[in-house]
Formats: sequence, C-alpha cells, structure tokens
Amino acid sequence: MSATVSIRRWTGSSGDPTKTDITSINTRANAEDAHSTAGTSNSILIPEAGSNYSYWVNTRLSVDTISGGTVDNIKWYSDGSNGFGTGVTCVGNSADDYVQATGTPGETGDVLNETNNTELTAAPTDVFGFTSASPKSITGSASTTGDVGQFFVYQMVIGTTAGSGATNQETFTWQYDDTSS
Amino acid sequence: MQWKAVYTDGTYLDQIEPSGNKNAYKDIQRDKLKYFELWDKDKRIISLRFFKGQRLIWRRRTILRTGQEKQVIHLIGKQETVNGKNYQGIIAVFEDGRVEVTGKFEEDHPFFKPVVIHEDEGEEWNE
Repeated sequence: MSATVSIRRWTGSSGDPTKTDITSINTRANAEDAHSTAGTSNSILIPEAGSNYSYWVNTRLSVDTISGGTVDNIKWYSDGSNGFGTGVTCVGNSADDYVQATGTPGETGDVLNETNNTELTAAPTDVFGFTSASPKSITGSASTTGDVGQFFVYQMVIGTTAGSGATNQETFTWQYDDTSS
Repeated sequence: MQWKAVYTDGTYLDQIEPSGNKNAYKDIQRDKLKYFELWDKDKRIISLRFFKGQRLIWRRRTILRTGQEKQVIHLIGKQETVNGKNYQGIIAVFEDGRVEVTGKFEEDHPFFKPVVIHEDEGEEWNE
C-alpha cells in the first residue's frame, strides 16, 4: 500500500507546536498564529500605505504510515497564476526548521524575511514563480513515520488596493515519490 | 495498483501476497527480472519486459493539493548502457488507466521529473 502522507500546518510555540492536518481542508492566512478554515476575528488590516502581511504560514509533510519503502523527491509548487485578487500577493520559500510566526494580531504579521525567520533557506519570492515545471525542491526523505523534509513557509502581502473581505482561494501543491509496500 | 516482479526462472514476487504479506520494492531480485507488471486488483494494467543489463525503476508519484483528492502516477522505467551510451524509457501510468511514455526523465516536465535514485537501483540514471 502507498504511504499515507499528510500536509500539516504548524502553529504555536516551537517547543510544543500544533500540527494541523490540512490535507483535506483549506487554511486561512490571517493576522494570527492559528489555523482556521473561515476565521475572521484576526483578519489582516488593509494598509493606508505600504503593505501589511499575514502571519507566515508554516507547512510541512508528515508521513503517517509507511511500509518498507521511502518517501523522497519532495516538491512544492503553485498553479503559476496569482488568483488572490487585486493588491494581494504571496511570497514564500523553504525553511530548515520551524519558526513561530509573529506580528500584531488583527493587524499585520511581521514580514517574512531571513532576519525574522532565520531558518529560511533563501529570501522569500513570489510563490507563483514555483510551478509544476519549475517547483521548489524540498530537501528530505523518510522511511519511517513522522515529519519529513523542509518546511515551505509563505505569507500573504496586502497592499493598499486590496479589497475588503476574504480573498479568492488558491491551491498549493506538494508532490513526492513513494516506494512503500 | 500493485506491482508484480516476474523472474526468468518462472517465480515471482508480489508487492502484496494473497496472504497479505507485503514485499518491499528493494527486495526485487533485479538480476533475474523478466517482467515488471502493474496490477489493478485482478487486471494486469501493464507489463514491461526486461533483458540482461536493463535496470528497473518504479515510483508512486503522488500529488497532494489541500482540499482535493490526491493524484497518483506510477512511473516505471528502465535503462541500459550499450557501448557507453545510455538508453532510457519511462512510462507513466495514471490511476484512470491512461498511459504516457517518454524517452527520458525531463526536469521541466510536470510528471516526468527525474527521481532520486536508491542504492538498490544500481548506477545513476545519467544522460
């Protein structure tokens, strides 16, 4: 049988993070360090100038079952087209370890950069530059259950021209190879 | 879908035996592999013939998108080196039975991207 692999969103303290299985659901990038599918209590404030940000979103794969094989060759990518709407962009990159997202709840997250998140492998870039033809390679493999590979961390960037309310939804993709029995 | 390795001596190795016992991909005896097959229950989907010197590769390539059903593509490949030149053939078998074939792995292809070679798969799949 194939390995069972799930997409987890990590929130909370690095000492005891919450790892929410978001494989079958959506997750919102709000101005809070929490997963929700429809939360509005800590939305991102549209700025009068410059940009505001979501708290960065930490995602990682988890091998939940595996038998006599390996999960490897992990990739992350988008559909290549920003469908979030006017004034909204999204940046991200891989990270070697977990760093809890920070910011001012209900207003803005701290900007995702290599200073605020020292585990990033490189400066965040437009996630829509990562496509099926040119994905982000995620280092790591596993032959036993548990977290596998680097994180992919992303953040919404909200400009002054963004409209009120929830943005359109985007779907991001994880891909991996598996030789489990 | 499950694989079945058929050997030159007529024996075979099932990924999952009728008893439920599971065999690992790395346990395939590559030196006497005659056919590598994919089965969907009792229906053989594809059978790939191997000759001496040809090396097998198989991966279950999985695509996960939040909130959507996962997509699985079985990649079966073989390569051989003849007079110093490398020859490859890769087949992608989709869960709906669709099959696509290419002559080599391609970095910028949506699903024929190169695999990470495992120790038991022999030498690197170089160009």
